[in-house]
Amino acid sequence: MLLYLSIGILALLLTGIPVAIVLFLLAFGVDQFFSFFPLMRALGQNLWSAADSFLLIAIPLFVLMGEIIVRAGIAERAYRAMDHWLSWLPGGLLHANVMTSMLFSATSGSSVATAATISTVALPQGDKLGYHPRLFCGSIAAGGTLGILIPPSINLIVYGFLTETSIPKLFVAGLLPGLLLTGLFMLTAILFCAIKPSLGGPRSHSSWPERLRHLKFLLPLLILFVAIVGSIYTGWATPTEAAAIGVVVALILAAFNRRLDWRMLTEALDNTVRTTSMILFIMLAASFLNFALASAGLSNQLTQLLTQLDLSPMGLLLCVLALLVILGFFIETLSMMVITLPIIAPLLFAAGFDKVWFGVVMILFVEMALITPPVGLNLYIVQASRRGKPFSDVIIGTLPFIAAMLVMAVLLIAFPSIALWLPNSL
Amino acid sequence: MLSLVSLVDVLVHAVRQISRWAARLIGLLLLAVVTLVIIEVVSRKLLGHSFEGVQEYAGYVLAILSAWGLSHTLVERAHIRIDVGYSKLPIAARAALDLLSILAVNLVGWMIVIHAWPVFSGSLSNHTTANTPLSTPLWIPQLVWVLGYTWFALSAAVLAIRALLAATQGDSATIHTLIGMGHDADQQEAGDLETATARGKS
Amino acid sequence: DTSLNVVGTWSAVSLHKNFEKPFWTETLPKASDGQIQVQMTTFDQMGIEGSDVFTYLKNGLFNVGMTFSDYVGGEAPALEGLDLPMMTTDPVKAREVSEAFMPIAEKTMQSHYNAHVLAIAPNTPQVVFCNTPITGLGDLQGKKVRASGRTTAEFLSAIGAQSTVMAFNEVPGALERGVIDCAVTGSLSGYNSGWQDVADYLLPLPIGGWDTVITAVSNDTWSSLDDETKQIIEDQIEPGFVDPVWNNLAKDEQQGIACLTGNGDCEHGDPGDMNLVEVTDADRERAHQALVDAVLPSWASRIDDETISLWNENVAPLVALPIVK
Ligand code: NA
Ligand code: NA
Repeated sequence: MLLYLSIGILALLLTGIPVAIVLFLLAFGVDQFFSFFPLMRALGQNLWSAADSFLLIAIPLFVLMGEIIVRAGIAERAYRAMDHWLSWLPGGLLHANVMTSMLFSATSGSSVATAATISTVALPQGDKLGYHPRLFCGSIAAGGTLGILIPPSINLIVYGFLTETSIPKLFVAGLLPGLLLTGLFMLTAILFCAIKPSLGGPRSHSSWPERLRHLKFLLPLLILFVAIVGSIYTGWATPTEAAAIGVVVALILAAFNRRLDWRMLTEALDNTVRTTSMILFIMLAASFLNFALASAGLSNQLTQLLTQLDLSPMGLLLCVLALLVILGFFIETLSMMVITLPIIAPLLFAAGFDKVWFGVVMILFVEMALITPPVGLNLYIVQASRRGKPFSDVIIGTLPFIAAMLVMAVLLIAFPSIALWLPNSL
Repeated sequence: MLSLVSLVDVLVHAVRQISRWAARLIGLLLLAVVTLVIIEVVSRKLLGHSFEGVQEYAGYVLAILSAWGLSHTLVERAHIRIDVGYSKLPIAARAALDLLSILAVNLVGWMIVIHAWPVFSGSLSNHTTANTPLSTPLWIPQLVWVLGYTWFALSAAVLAIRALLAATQGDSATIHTLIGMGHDADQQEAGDLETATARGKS
Repeated sequence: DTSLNVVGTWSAVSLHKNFEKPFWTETLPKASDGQIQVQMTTFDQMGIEGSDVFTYLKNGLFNVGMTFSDYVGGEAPALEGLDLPMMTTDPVKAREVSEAFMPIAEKTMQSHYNAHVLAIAPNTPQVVFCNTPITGLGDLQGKKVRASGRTTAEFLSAIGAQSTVMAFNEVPGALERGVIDCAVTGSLSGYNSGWQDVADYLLPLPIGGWDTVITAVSNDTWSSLDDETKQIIEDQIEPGFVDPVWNNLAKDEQQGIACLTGNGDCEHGDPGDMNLVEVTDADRERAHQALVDAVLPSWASRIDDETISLWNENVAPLVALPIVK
């Protein structure tokens, strides 16, 4: 079945058929060739139940917030200011992308909403400031995944629920690896741009007075961020509700900048609807494909595969991780956890691996699935904000960060205390 | 033949306009959701009163957005397509792939429509309600939702017919402006589409 | 040979791991000498909503489906009556009610989903976790409480609490930071997910009911089976699934309290140190009144006359909750 998927997805994507349509066609094919039961009858109900969701409303709202601060000129000035501060460093604004994505996704808990927001805001500035598109896109796509390791994280909650692991402990455990991975991403950017400076932006040294003069342009972003984070941490709002607060604060800031008018708002809304409906269509298609695969017995195939092999604990772990990478090509975040965990978790725990530790490792590979082609939601979300330009830029630009994730995985296996030191010392 | 082309051009124009207005309406619905959520948050914290239904209505808005936003995205050529193979091909081959794509969109679009209507009619005949204190009859949001997918499929059909007509005339320029993969200079081209369709009329 | 595709409840809950799965994949095939083959998955592994399980069963996507009666209240409101909040507060009574409810369940499953009920069994009591001090049910007045289903929300409103709907994923964070004061969930599931670290007070009353699960087989499947196979399934499901689940319920209830509060031995890991809120007779009386005044009339308004008379005849005498027209 995985072979069918790989060939099918490559052939269909190479023909340039829209991604969401390809995923639907593949699901229809699974129904035709692999399923005894009439899966198509579930299509309508599946689309309705997956879309009728309050949690997902965070996506259009955060995109709308991003559109507003771009059109209000806030994003451009803030990125110029950050450029003054960062352009001496190899990679320059790439670090700003990684950091803002990390902070934003850590707070919102949603990598999709983060990638959508940051790419809306940052991509136009990258072009204006003369950055090479590849790593610029890659840093946003990869940076957006950071938040699902850093609490609060929906994925960690689902892991805790599925494996009966303490969620508060998981949250504490994710913190250090999350920050470490952020550091690795920045190191990656420095490394690549130091070796080949053209991969970054124009390097320059701004004077201190210049830097200080531009500092005030960071203020609106700071206000926005404090409003969102503050409303969540003071218990005013859930992360989803905070998206609405973000929109209102963005509107106020735009009005303050005298850039808020009916035309600007209409354009922002137009773009929001277009971007989110495209993202949602891909998400719904991916979810239906997951449903088709699960119904056609993917879990049973996985169970057979893993239980037939008689492996040492480390062999089992490596086998599971390889499987997660391969599944990650085709399946997205939550579905991947739900499909695999009931099978792999009992085997791994029986082999002596720590529940909390594996939670962190699992989330790392879930993050990776978000940015590995051909089905990598974050890649498409970044691409959505740069319509018409080559998609290959996004894929190639993300590869170095995938490598950084693999390094992180090796570190976690070699030094489990990276994840376990904090929760065990509390 | 020409009169057929101009008839379809009128349809394309209508699809474009209606899809745009639908997108605008959804945009306003999103602003309404923002307002409701803010009222809910403030009232919950300051007045200790929580409104029933804010999350429920927001869920319906998202479902409606997921369906009704698609046609606007389609006519704006904003559905993501992979350019790896496409970009290396000559114009005629690209036009062929564009036609293949729009036919695939039609296939999927109509399959969705066929399977989405029973969801609505089932809710209507079973008197299904939301499993919430508001007990909203689900056929109401589901009707709006299924009409969105239906409009998407109809839009795809109109675009496919126009593109096939263009193909019979060997007019790959129109195919590209209508359903081609977006490229850098296309921001202006999209604006020029009225001119392009006008060209078809003359 | 018979091959059945069976869809269970949440893959992670003990009901599935310790009862559903062993019964369908081990007990039943063994009892039939391998005549019955079962492929089992769960609704979350399939990537579908629990509320859609019976809809898909009706559409022929699988042969046997299980889901929580609360989840399908929107489509089949009659099934809500199986598990009204605080209708019963002890496991023995809860089982009596579920047996008395069988005629209503069968009638409803037949008319709504074209399916036949094989079993009714509970998951765990749905109790209240709070991170603000409470001393009893009365203290929920004015508190913001996350409810999962409609009848629980109605019950909470009736006792003066603010019920809010919130996605399960957002609950632990919201509880920790005080967006909500309390949330209702299964006691042992709360323990396994570490809720004892974000909430301090435990009210061990089944405010959300017992999380009852209905197991049903589609009529198409059932009529295609030969009499012998049907007989094996019917003979086996009571001692092989229903009895063990109910017998385990009291223990789960006790373990939930022991593990969350440290009162008694916890067999599942390190006990938490939540404060156990004493349940008084006044609390039970208050709950019953809320049922009589608000929840029951509201439910009665959603169901047909035949269901009402079945209720009054079979269930009402057990719980002193007659529906007066
Ligand atoms: Na996070
Ligand atoms: Na992927």
